[in-house]
Amino acid sequence: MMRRIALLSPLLLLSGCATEQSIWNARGPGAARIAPLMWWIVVLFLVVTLIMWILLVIPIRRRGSLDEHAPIDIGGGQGWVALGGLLIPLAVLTAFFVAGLILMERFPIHDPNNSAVLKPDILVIGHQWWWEVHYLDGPPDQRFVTANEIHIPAGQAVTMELESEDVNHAFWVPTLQGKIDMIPGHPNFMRIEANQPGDYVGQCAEYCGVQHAHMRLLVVAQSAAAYKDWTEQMLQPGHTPTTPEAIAGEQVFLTGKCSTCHEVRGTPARGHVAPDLTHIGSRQYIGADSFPNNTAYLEAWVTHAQSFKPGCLMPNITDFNGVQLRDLVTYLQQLR
Amino acid sequence: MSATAVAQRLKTEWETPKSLWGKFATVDHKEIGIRYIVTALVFMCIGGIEALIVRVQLARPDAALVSPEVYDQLFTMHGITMIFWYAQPILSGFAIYVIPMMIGARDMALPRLNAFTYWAFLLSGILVYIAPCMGQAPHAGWFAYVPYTLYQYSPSHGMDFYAMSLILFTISMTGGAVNFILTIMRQRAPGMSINRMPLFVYSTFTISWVSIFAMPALTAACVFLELDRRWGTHFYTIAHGGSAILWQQLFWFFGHPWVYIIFLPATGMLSMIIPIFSRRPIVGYPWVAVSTILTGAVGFSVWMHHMFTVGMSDMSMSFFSAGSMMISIFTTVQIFAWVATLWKGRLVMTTAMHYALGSIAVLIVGGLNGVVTGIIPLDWQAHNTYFVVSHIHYVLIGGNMFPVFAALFYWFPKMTGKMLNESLGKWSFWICFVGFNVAFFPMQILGFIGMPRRVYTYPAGLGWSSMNMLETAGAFVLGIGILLIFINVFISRRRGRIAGRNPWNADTLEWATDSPPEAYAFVHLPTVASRHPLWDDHDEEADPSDERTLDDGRLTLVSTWLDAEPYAVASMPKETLVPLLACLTLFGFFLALVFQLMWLVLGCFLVTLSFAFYWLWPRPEAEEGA
Repeated sequence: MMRRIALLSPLLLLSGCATEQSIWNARGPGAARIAPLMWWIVVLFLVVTLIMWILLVIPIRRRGSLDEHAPIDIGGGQGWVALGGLLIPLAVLTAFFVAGLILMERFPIHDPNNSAVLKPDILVIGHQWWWEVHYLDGPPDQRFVTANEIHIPAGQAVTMELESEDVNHAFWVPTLQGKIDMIPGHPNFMRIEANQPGDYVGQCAEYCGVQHAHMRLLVVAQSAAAYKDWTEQMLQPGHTPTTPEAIAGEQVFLTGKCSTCHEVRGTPARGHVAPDLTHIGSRQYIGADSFPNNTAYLEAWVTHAQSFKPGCLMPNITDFNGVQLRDLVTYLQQLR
Repeated sequence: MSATAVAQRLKTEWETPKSLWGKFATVDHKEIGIRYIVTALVFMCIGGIEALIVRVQLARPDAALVSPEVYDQLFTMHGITMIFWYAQPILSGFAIYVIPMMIGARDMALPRLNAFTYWAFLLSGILVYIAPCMGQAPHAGWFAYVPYTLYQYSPSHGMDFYAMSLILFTISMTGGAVNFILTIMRQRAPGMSINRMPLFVYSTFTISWVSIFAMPALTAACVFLELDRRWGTHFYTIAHGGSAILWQQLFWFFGHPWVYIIFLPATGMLSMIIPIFSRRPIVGYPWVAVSTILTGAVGFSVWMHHMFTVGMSDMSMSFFSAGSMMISIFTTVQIFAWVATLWKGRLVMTTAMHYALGSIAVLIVGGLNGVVTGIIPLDWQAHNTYFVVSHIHYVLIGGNMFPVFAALFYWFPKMTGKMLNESLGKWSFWICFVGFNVAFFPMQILGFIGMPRRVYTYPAGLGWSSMNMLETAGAFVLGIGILLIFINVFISRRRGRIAGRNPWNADTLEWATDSPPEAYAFVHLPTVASRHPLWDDHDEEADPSDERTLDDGRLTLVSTWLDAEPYAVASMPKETLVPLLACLTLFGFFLALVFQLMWLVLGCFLVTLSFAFYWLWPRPEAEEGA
């Protein structure tokens, strides 16, 4: 049993490396600089553990008896303490301490003294339990607000300002960069970069209440052209519905409860306590990146959000009939 | 006077009457020590059951065994139960039981305070467990970060119970620390100069000083929290100029020294047990003693390593990273002193020794993965993930629970006069050891592959499912191992082999007393001539002219703190109900504060105050201790 577990554990370790939220699966310079140092220290410490366990086991062979004991003035063994307890750990720990400082210097996660950092490209505000995202680049008419899905240009460092509207959260996309807390009244900054276009998942890493588990996060890195297209698309107001179902759905949205909390730019819906839905149809997930954005989940979310994410602010909305619900979802899906 | 006549006189002086009144009024350190141990073990069982429910919920992705609210309450109650009401009190229990005898005294220096701190510990635990009985348990993790714990986000009474019970707990802790300091500085046997103190005494002495300086930060943090929650102050509210980080600073200024408070006495236990079963004095006694003290001192300059992701200047983070590296060197010194003792000794592989070696093995892993979190950029990835959950359990099970089990097997014969069953003990060790590693080793990998702590569930497809299932299985195996220890205790208490005075042929003074010891412990208060009183040629109880029987009242010797030269005789107090009554009204005070019943608060306060006056009122010599 023990041997099987011993054989399996490196396999488990390796199989974990390629998973989506693994720090070993580094896809940006921040995470990529941390990962090798982490490998070094993990391998070294596994070796140290092995050596220490052997040192603990070997003396077991030399047995004594409770009837006798060594003389009380017996000496010896000080060398062990000086070498193993003091000198070797001093050298190893100093090396790792310095390596850590160098790493921190080269790619700081946040640096309030750096003037470039003070002009963030993106402001992310944590809420219980979703992310409000402001794009601040460019003149005021080039700025826009979205939620939960953060697009960045690939191969380019982006500066984020991270804040919170309520309790503490933490922004963490393990494949791109380490985490940093989002604390009300204490803005933090992070430089984040993805080497290649792709989807990078993460989640809130500071316990923030009952739905901490469903405060997931998606960063989408795009080529420069695709990113430009995306920002142009985001600057547009909500798509005006054209099909009869979608037009009916818009009426459901505007006359129902939805618009009290949600905003769709270009319509009278200007609620500000819940995620902006202007381009909800283009997002991959709903419920703070927790559930796929498709017809079935959208319908279920509207009527039974409390079953998916108990305790969240979104109520179960059961006052729509089947047709209204289908129209509403059609409307949301064409908001691209 | 004949020896038996003296013993009889001492017995009548010291023994607590065997009546109901005696049970509540006792000030005997042996009785109180055992109560501490039993109560802490009960809390450990409760905390363990909470942990098992948590593990079942996490065994599969998207599970719904418990609701998110209940899950949050469970992991919070597990954390605070284990960290506050198990991990420290169990060490205090052993220390209160063993240390007076180990240093050749007849009781703690302040026996009534000793009773008081026990009742305060018990009642604070009961206070915090009223909350889950009302369905409103604390739910914000053991470090309870604001703003989530403010009224706006946590309106239930859970956090009020958290704050109030912890304040009562800090009162107990502080009283206990004062008592240990006084006992150790003033009651050591003649000749037990500071360089001859057993290492368990060193570690308890160190953490008592640490407690005195660390606990006020927790008290202040909790007072501020309650004031913010119920009285409209703004220590932590940003909108009115408070700071959410203030809580973190206060809490961790207490919190990291606390880690050493619940760790160092356990290393002290190992420094007693390992040499005994290596049949030689410990290698590097001065190294270990100095490392213990330095760990306690430097423990005050590492707290910000819990906050590397808060967003602080690189300079302050680097300072605390360096402190964290430095403090791990003091622990490696201790570990290598133990390893050298093993290599230079001849081992006797008792169950206690199994647990001692197992705890070093586990502690090594916990120490090393602690270094990972001490390196700032690595902590940015590891922080708040299951890697940290693994770390804290490797440190606290290797550095507290296994040493405590070793101590249980080691001192149980002294406490009960019976030996624990060795073969059942070794079975329990191997089951605990394997179960523990299966439960907690995979958590390190889970942390690396991105699983944050404190999530009530997780999606399939991130590669976390199989390891979570494995961990749950391991947790249950660990639970079975611990259950075996309890079975062993229950069976051996009645049917165990008779222990005799010194079953391990050990070297410290407590083994010179009967098993279980008489209330007065020693007929002739012992003198000491070396670090190993029972292994040297000096006869501790040689007292031909009966100068050190002190049988003329409840008396014990008082000595100087460095050289332990006797200079006075102290008269010790008799049994009294005042500590219990004062604690009960104090309990009422805090319970009333939770519900803001202000007239009751005032009433309880005044009654507690009058008990304090009665307790402390100077009395003529003859009535001393009434």
